[in-house]
Amino acid sequence: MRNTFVQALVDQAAKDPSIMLLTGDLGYRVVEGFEAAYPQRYLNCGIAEQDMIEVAAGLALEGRKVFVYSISSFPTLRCLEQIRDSVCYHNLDVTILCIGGGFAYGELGTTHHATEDMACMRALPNMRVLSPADPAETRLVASYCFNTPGPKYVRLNRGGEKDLPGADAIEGLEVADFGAPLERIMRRPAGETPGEDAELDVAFLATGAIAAEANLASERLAEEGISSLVLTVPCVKPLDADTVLSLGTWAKLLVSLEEHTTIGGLGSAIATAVASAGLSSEKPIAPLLEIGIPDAFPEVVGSQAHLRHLFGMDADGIVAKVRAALATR
Amino acid sequence: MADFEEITDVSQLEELESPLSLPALEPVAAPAPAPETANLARRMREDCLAITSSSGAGHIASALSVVDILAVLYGSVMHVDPQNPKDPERDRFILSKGHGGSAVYAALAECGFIDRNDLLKNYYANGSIYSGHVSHAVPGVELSTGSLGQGLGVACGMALAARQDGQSWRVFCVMGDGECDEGSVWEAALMASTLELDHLVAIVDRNGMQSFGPTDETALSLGSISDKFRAFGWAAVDCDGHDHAALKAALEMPHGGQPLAVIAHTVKGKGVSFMEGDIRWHYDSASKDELRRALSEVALQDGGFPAGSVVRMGERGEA
Repeated sequence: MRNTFVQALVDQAAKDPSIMLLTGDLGYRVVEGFEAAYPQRYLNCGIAEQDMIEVAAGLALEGRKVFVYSISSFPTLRCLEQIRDSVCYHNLDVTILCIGGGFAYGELGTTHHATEDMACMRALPNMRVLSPADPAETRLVASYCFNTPGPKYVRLNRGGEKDLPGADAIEGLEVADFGAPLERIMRRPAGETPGEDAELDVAFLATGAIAAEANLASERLAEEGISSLVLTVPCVKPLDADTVLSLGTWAKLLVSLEEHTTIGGLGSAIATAVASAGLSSEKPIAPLLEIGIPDAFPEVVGSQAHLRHLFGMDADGIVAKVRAALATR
Repeated sequence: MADFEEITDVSQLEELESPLSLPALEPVAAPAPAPETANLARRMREDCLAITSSSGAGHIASALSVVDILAVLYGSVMHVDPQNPKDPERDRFILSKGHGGSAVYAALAECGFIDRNDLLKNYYANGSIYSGHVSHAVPGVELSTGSLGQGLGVACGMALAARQDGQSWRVFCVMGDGECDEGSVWEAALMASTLELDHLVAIVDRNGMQSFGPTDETALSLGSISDKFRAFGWAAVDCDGHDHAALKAALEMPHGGQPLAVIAHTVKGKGVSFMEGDIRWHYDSASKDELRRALSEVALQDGGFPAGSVVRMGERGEA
């Protein structure tokens, strides 16, 4: 996903001379292509994230579209106040690229896990929070960033991810081609969409690369006779509450899935939408099962797959949690 | 260069029912010769005292210490146009020590960027744009600040853009000395010298005081700030931050290929005897009686301050 975004940036920079790429001394074998093509528009800011954000703000004040590249929680938590005071308060065209969302750098340890980033970014006025699920969705999000002024946070996984099934349906498309804002574009990565009159047991809303686990879980649930639908959510803020609520009045159970703490991320955004609509909705809205990282740090070393399994966020864990939730109804 | 309109004298403020309606004491003759920006500095001090006193705002001493720096910048060094505050070729100014915001508002009011009566009535007021820390909602302000350590990095980004665009405008960033405790200042300092940002001028308002008193005694040992900037690859110069001729010379010093740091040695609360060097005035605002006494002192200052008047505080080991 990182190479996908940076390649899109290289391509776009040929058309848009205002684009600049700043890195916090990270992106080996990822950002060199941009540097080679546009050496004057590339800047390694060193291991100094606070300054990198301030420099990005200064450049954006002078008309640049600035993309900032780093990994894990370095481009968010290390420089949160700079993002708030300089970028968001002044509503500047700065896009923060985070590589290593969730446990993508699992074995490197807790300092390299981006697991509270979306909560912090969601809380900032003017900030949009984008979290594509696969390379195809990454290209869509990139095109959105190129054409949408203002602060944006893009959370990517790492490298080498495969497209989810059905990716060819969005390949080569830009947000404008859908005739809808990005937040309304939620993909159904696999399976046929059931008719509106069909019974639906579970609706998954999944953001980021972990959406692949929801897809697997959906297949396994089908084998057990539990019908489900998976939608990916590339735009966590703003969240399209209408889509969430229409799913909530259709399915018996809403399930949010994110590789992020359950405090303040996608699940929280959905919970707010559901709770806020509760009184005015004509139809009852399904309960919400939030699947994410509990309020804890992992106590062991592990790969992304291992840590997902540890916290019950892989397909096995998702199936078990959904089964248990449906059993209580 | 800014074109100044001679602004009304203090007595005209009576209409506003501000504390300035109190009768001023009889002024005595000011010393000569007067620097061209001294009159501007005097009026800015009056504005700062008036608006902080009438609103109950703090940080008057921080404003008074930076007034002369701002008067020289706005009155004599920077190319800015109050009729066109977004002129693409203007020099950029950032007050990174945002708590001195009243002094920037005073400069903008006295130079015609904003309506002075509006400032006098609405500074710090509910529903207004004049926050205590400087706000970009105010015409002529590039960047809202208030969290220390914020400005120099933004100034680096602006200076880089100027060079990339082949522009000659400069970026001036005023910081406090206590602000230099912040690591982000030194991240930006490294970047500025690495990129050889010669469009960038940092000015440190070296008043030697921070929240609890003298910088080196109550917080971190800053020592020689100019030596530190030199070690970080900057051109650096120390000067008397209340001597307008010395400030102008420092700000216009050739510094080819390097960013320039001007360490302006100042007195916190400068120009009001009972505020000078007293940390109380970082927090308190002048009562009506204190304001009258302060204004009576400031009224005598159209001649500026004699060179070498700075009493250095908290600078152990600094020449």
